[in-house]
Amino acid sequence: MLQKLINFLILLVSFKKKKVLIPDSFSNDEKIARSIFSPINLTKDLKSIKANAFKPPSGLDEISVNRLNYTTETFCKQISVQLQNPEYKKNYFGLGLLYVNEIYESDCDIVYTPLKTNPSHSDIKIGYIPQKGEPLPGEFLKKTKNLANKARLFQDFNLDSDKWEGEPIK
Amino acid sequence: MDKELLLESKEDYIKAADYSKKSEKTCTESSRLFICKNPNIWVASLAAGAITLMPAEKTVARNFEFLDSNDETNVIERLMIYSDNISSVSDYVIELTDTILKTNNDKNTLVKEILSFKSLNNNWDGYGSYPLEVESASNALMLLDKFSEEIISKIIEVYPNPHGTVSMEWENSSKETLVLEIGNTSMSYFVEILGKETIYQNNKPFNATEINKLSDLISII
Repeated sequence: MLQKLINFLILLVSFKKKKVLIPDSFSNDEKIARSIFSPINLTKDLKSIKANAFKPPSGLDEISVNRLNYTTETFCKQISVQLQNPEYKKNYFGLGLLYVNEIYESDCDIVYTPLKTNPSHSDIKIGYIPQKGEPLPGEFLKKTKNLANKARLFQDFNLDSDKWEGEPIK
Repeated sequence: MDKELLLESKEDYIKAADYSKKSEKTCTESSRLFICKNPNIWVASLAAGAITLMPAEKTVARNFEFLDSNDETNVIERLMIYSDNISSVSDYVIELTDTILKTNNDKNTLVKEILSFKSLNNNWDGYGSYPLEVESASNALMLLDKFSEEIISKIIEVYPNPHGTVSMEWENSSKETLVLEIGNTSMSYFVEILGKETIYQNNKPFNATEINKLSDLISII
C-alpha cells in the first residue's frame, strides 16, 4: 500500500515537470492505449482482447484510455499496475492499441478528459449508459466487440520491471 | 454413461454400425484378399497382423481370407485399401467418443468459470465495476442447462462485464458470430451471418420461445 502511494507520487511529480501541451481535438491517426489485464480481458489463446475490455461501467459512458502520442508506454504501464488485482483474475498484461479513426469507424466517440494525475487521459464513448444487471442492447454489444476486434494487443514481457518491456507500440 | 446422453448418442452409434456393415459389404465384394503360396505370403501375413482391429470392426475381419491364386494383383495395395476401410470406421468412432467427452468437460468447465466470476469484488477492474450479479449468474447457468451439448461445445468465450452481467460468444471459422449478454431479467444478443444483415435482439425474456430462437440461431453459426 505504501509502495503504491510512493509510485503514485512519483507519477504526479514526473508529469508536473513535463509541461506538454495536449490539444483537445484528436487526429485520425492518433494512438489510443487501453490497459489490458489477464485473464479477465484476454481470449483463451492470449492473442486477442475480449469485448469486456471496452465496456463502460454501470452508470457511465466512459472507457478510460490514454493518448499515447502525448505520453509513454511506461507511464501507461505504471498506471495499469496500480489498477491490477491478482486476487480477482486481474493481472496487468499489456496494452491494447486503437487508432482514433478506428474508434470512429466503430460508431463510437472519444473525448479528451485530462486528470491532474494523468494529463493524457481520455474516454471512449459508445453512446449508451449501462445499468447494473441489464444487458447492453445488441447494437452496443456489436460496437464493443468491434473495438475489441480492432484493438492490437501488445504484451509487456517483463511485468516486474518499472519500465515498459514490450514491443514499441506503433 | 449418462442415460440421457446414451439415448442421444444411440442414433450416432447406429450410424457407426451401419457404416461398419457397408464397409464389410465393400470388402466382401471387391476387396477379398488373395494370398499366393509363395515366399511373399510371410510378408503379407506380417502386414495383415499389424492391422489393429477394434471391436466395432470384427464383422469386417471375417472376410480376410487366405487362398491360392494366380491373381497378379498387388497384394500390398489391396492391404492398404482394406486398412483404409478399417481406419475410416475407427476414425468415426474415435471422433464420436471425443465429442462426447469434450462436451461433458466443456459444460462443467463453463459452470465453474461462471461461478468463479461471483468471487470478483466491487471495482474488480479498477474503473468502478460490479461483481457478477446473482440473478445474471443464475440465468447463465439455466441457459447452459437448456442448451444442447452441441451448442455448449461451440462456445468460444464466457466472461463477466463491468455492470454485473455475463457474456457468451460463438464464432465459426467463417467469422460468423453470435454475442450474447445475460442480465438479471433479460438477455440481448446480435448475430452476424455472412451475406445477411446483422440481427439484433434486445431485452428478451428467458422463456422457452426466446431460448429456442436463440438456440436455432446459434446452430446456424
